[in-house]
Amino acid sequence: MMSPARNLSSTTWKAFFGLLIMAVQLLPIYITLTVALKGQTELSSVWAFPARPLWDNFVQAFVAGKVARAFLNTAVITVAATAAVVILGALAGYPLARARSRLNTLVNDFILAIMMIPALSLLVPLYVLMNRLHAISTFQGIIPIHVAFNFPLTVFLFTNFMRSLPRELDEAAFLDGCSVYSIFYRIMLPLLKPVTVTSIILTSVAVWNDFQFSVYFLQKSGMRVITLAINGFFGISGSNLHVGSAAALLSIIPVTVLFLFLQRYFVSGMVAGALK
Amino acid sequence: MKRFLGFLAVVMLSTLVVATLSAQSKTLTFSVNWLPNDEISKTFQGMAAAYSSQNPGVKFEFSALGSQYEAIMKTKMAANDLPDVFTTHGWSVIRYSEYLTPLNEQPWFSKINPAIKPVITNKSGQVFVLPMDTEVACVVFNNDVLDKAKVDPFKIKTWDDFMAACEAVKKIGKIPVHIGGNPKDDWTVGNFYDWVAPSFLITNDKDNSREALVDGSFDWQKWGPVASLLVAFRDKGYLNPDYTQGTWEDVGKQMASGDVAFGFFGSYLIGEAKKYNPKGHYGFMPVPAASSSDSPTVITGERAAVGVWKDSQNKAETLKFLAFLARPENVNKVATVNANPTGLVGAGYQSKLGDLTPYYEKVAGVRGFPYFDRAYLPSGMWDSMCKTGTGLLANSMTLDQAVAKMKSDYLGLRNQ
Amino acid sequence: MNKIYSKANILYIPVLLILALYVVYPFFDGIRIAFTNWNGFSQKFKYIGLANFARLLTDDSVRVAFVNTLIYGFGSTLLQQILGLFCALLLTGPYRGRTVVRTVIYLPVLFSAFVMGAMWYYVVQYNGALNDIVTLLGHAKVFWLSQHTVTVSLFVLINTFQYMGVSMVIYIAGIKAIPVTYLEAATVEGAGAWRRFGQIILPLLFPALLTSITINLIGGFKLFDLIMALTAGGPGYTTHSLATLIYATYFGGQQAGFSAAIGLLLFLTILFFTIVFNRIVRGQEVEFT
Repeated sequence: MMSPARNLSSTTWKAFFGLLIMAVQLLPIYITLTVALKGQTELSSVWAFPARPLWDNFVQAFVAGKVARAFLNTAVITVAATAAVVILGALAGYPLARARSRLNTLVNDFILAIMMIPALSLLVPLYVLMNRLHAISTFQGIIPIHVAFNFPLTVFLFTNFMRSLPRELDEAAFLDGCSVYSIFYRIMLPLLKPVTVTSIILTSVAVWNDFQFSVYFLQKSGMRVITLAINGFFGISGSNLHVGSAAALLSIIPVTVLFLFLQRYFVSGMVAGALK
Repeated sequence: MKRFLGFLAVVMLSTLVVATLSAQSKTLTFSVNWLPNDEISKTFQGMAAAYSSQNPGVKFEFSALGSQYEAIMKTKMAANDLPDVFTTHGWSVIRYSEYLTPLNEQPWFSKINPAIKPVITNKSGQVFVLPMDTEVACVVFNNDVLDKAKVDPFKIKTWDDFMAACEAVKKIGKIPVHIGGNPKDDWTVGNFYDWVAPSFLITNDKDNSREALVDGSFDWQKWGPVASLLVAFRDKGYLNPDYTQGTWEDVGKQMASGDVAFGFFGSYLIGEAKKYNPKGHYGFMPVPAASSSDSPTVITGERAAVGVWKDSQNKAETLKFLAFLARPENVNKVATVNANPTGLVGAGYQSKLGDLTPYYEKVAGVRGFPYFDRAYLPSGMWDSMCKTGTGLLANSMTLDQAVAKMKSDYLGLRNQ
Repeated sequence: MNKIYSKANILYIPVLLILALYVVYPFFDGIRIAFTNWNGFSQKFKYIGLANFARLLTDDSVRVAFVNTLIYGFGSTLLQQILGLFCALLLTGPYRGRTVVRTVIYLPVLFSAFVMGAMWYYVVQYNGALNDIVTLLGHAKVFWLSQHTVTVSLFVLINTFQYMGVSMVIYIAGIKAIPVTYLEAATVEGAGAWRRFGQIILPLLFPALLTSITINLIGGFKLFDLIMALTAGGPGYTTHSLATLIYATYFGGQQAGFSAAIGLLLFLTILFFTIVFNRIVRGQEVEFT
């Protein structure tokens, strides 16, 4: 595993393993691509890239699946939920990182325990509640739900990160006359960029890909999100797996692009945030 | 923090705007159980649009919820928040009636097709849906395959006859029965049981368990023969070779390509097959009986049936919409899309059955029974049939285990 | 100073309020449902005491799903740690094209599990990519998805591949945080690669190990979308996890009360193993200033 870097054969092994693992990860994407580019009557093996790629499937996915509208809805929900999670999560992380007390340990464990609740067990009572609030098929209904379920991971990251910041800076600021709130605002906030990026990526991916909540809480056709639009192609009658595959591939693009842009910060955010 | 408050303000403001704008006209919510791009969904959507243009001030919020329909509707029922008008896909009496408006007083009520009326009437004589078509479900076959195998489907009266026919099909190298079978499409296996169970348990006037199933005294050992018919087909090689992985898509494709003889599905299978091969020759025959003292039967049920939520805020308008749907031109359109006879009968009601007409004529005099799991099993046992079916097929369940599971689910669900 | 910081406690109140309304309240309502025989959609139901909980002990499908859940959880986690650590070590040494490989390995984490499952279906279905290779080699097609042992193992593998990027990134972060001086000192003292790994890197990776295993374990126990996309829990009940069984029992079997009881079982299972694991690893931790 850890071989001396000077050895030539080890470089070959490294390249081999790298390529092997990449191949495994890319395999399903490739197969989905070949399916997405074929028509319903084409019977060739899934391995074969079609001789005449049916790019029209992608167009159909966009139009028939009302993918454009779904993208818009998903974008709105994702941006709003991520903003709320990051802002409120960062604020929450500050006292949990700095103020040591039995109460705060309890609050911390409570928030983490939320991660362990299977969302399904909450579905029906949550639906009844949402209905009473007249929040079904609304942005203001679905966004708080995403916010609630994405809090734990973000709070965890921010709390850990802020704990690792030296208290000396705080104490110096306090002696200078800063209130406890402006310590957060002036000292910590500027340093939070890496873990903020990590949180943004993890939260927006989770919200973007959500299916379980969206399928029940966003029933109006105008409110569909991208996961629902894709799912609409897989059904009993009228199903067209090829167009569905095209839609699935379209949905991957935004998160991939986001990640490519932000990945430098992502790893450093994990360094700081995930390890105590 | 400031960004969040700003966002909140925008959200509240836009909600206010939308609310005021929509308060000016009536909006009826209309949900159907098919996919948005299915022909039948588009037909209903078109009718809603036609109604809107004839009745200004009435708008529709139409949603075709597809494969998630049942789960979403169950969740909505739990919250007592249903669409004004929705389709009941066969479950108007057993599942949805608690939430539906009785429609006995409606102007079109007397026109309901007598073939479907018993299926949609509850014990107190109430009817909760407008049946736009009547499903007459039989065993679908590919005529060309049967011709090649020299099998006359209408000479098949019992399961023994059927298995002889399967043998003949197998001899010419074709698949006698495509069961589907994939656990993701396990409804295909449940379907098989729905088709087959009545011949063992219901149809024989002289020896049946009709009352025993309904009052709870049913001896579940009698389920054995039903469950093992599937296993017998498998062991004799009458099923598609990938019987644990075959999808619904495969059924249609292989029926269309002339590789499969029989399918235990309604005439919607013919619609599917025609998608792949419109020039194929397809037909259907009654479901065989289990013994020679009994005769073959057909299954009658709802396909496109529409009901009105009993707590709808726009009930009067919705009932008017239902009356609009009940007009001959609309009923005919829907029934034709589904290739079924119309749900209402009388002057002007006639769907275009095309090349299926001779088959409908052939089964006109055959006894019809309701769907087995809808009429004789407590609600929820459809799933048990599907799961025990796939389990038996894949040998992950023994016959005894399957019977035991059916029994325990039956007793448990009866208590709800 | 602590008391002063405590004044900032009001800053987590919005989080708690949102959690209380959207999570805690439905959670307890869900428990209430477990005491009923509700079918999930009627307005009528009866309270039936502990019957649903007793049924957890006798029902076949629960037993199978419970065992599967443990396999999915521990199996995936074990493989993800091995593969994730391997990739992290591979990529933190000198490596050309490091960013590309790292990105491709991490990419599937970004996809919705449902989409990932749909994509893998094309690979492992009866008429899929894998069987094409199998037939090319002259064998009969394999039923990858309808034989209990094969299918469950396949799920563990696919889940591992999708999420090993998570553990990889955590381990990369952890390795980068190890002061280079430690490793240099060890090399100077003559420690070989394996000893460097075993005596320095591994012990110092314990915080990363803790985080990675916790996250992977919870995810593995909750496995849902992948199973739904490939087998929906079948054939019969053989590939269900507790999470998919919750769904099937509720919507298919129309037994909301029993479903809620299974939900509670899953939650307690996750809680139990997470706490146990945390206790074990915390005892082994090595601090460095």
